[in-house]
Amino acid sequence: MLIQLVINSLVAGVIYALLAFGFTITYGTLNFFNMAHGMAYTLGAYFSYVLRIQWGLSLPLAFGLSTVATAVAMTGVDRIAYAHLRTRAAPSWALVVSSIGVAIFLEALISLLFGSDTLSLRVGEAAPGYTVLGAIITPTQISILVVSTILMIALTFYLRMTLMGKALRATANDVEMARVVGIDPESTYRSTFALASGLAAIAGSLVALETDLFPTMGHTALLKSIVASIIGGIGSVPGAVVGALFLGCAENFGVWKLSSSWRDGIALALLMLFLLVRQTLARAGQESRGR
Amino acid sequence: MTKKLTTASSVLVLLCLIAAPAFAQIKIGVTLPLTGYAASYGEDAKRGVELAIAQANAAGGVRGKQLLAVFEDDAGAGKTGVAAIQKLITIDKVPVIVNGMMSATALPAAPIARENKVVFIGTLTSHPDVTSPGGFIYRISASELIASNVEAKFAYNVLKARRAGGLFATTDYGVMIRKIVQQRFEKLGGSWVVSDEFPQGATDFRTQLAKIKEKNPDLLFVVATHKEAAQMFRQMVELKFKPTVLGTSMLNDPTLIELAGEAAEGVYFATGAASASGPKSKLTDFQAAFKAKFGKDPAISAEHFYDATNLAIEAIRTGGETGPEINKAMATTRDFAGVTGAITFTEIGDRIFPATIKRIEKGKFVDTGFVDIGD
Repeated sequence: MLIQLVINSLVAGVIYALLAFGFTITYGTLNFFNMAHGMAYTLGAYFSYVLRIQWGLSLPLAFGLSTVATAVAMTGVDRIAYAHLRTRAAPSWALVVSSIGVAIFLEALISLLFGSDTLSLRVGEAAPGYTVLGAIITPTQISILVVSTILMIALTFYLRMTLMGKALRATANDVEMARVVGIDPESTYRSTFALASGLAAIAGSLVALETDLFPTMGHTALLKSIVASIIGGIGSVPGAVVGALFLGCAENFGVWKLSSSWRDGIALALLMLFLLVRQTLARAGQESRGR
Repeated sequence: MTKKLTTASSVLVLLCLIAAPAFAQIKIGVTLPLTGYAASYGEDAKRGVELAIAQANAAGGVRGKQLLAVFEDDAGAGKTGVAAIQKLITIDKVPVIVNGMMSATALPAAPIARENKVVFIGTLTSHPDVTSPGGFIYRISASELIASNVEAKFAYNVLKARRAGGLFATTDYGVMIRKIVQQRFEKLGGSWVVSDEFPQGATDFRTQLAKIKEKNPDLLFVVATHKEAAQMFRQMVELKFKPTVLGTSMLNDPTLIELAGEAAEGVYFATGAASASGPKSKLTDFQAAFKAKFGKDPAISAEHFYDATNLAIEAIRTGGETGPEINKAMATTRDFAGVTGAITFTEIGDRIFPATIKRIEKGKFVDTGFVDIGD
């Protein structure tokens, strides 16, 4: 049973990690809480649905194209909804409000185009999973684990080794300094959006493969990205990944002990706990420096 | 500015009120979930109403007037449902309201209709408390008390289940039904070995199922929508957990089979039995007309809304155009030929409605022949 819980936790955790990764780099570079982040997840799933079910493309091709399509779409959203605000040096909350508008608009658009019904990305019947050490794991879960792990490793290299990754980190660190050394913040913002949305899109497609898709699926995705990012220290990439895995474990182990309706409650309780601890630590840090 | 707006809008509202009777229309209010979690039920329900209205208007309307359905979205939630009902009563001034499928919206909304002497016809709202204490409130579906008793009896007497487990949504409906079924099942002599729950709209049931599997019940009683159940059944196959599954009338939706595929095979669920005893032709005519108009088979919500709308139209025809007149006609309804069977109401507006158990076999809903009045 323990192994089953660990597997369930990991599968949930790596999905949260993909989401939190995007959320946290958006916060790090653009310095705002992107409330439309969950919509990239939903969009990704729906693009995959169109490509896979309606157009009949192969699964990897559909997922790849859907990721690109979501990244492009969300970069477009950035141009329309956020770029103007940035050039006018609008405060962070203006961007947050704008992103709430984006989320509502996109969700309504999806409901309009596809209806509110649940759609399925799967073809074929449910099959018994593989038994590993007494625990059961499905092929979809295995692909979620593999794809997410590969992506995480690739992203770490991307951020550390490539010029674009370095530009992203530099902008996150200090926009003005980045500008001084010749980095164009706007193009960095765009690539940040593309990257964050693309990752959320992959997460959305993977989850849809397992548990179907519906217009409001982005709500929990957003909640989980926020919680995981904050647990890991908002803006920190390794922190977000650790936070996500921790959240996955806490939820699944919590559900085992408590009643299952506490799943989202556990996420929020963790969020509050970490905010409190962080505040206390930060204050203690300030005091000791002050002395 | 605000003042101007208020004046302008009140003038507009007034104009609408004055202009409304000029079209010689009779309005039927409809509240149903068009957004939010239950929206997929709402879409088919809306089609059921549209079909009934279109057929009545094509036949010349009622009392020389055309009928008009005024749809309001209740989002399947109590608060939105109350707002929708209030809008229909105060602004649209409808004499009769057909209400959506969620008990959560009907429980707070129905008394408002009664207070305003507006007839309230519930569709799939099966919470035992919806209609009490009677008057102005009616419903097409059976009180869940009946179905729950039938489910427990079927599980114990026919399936010979002795160790039952429950997995249910933490809604008013889910919590209540699990309780009724458990009580009845235990009273019959069975033991209830495990219960677990999930929030409405959940898609991942693996941990709950693993928990239940450890207790090894021979029957799993499920209170879930067809969407939730489809996921649940697939995950049960993946987890190699195969108890006999018994669900509620919420599973009576062909989409379940579409979403779950073979994973839904062998699942039992309770549903109203009236369609078995009522005139079959009525149902087949409806199914054909529905398919011709909308290009798909009707779900159970469409059947109930179709019947509710037709009942409202009939009550307007025989009673009159005001709430109290319609109420009088509704109360005396005897064996109204609906697509869900013959409709007769008890004193408090509940339908006299035996329940039956169906089984999913080769992608079809098959009658088990078990019919009971759930006493």
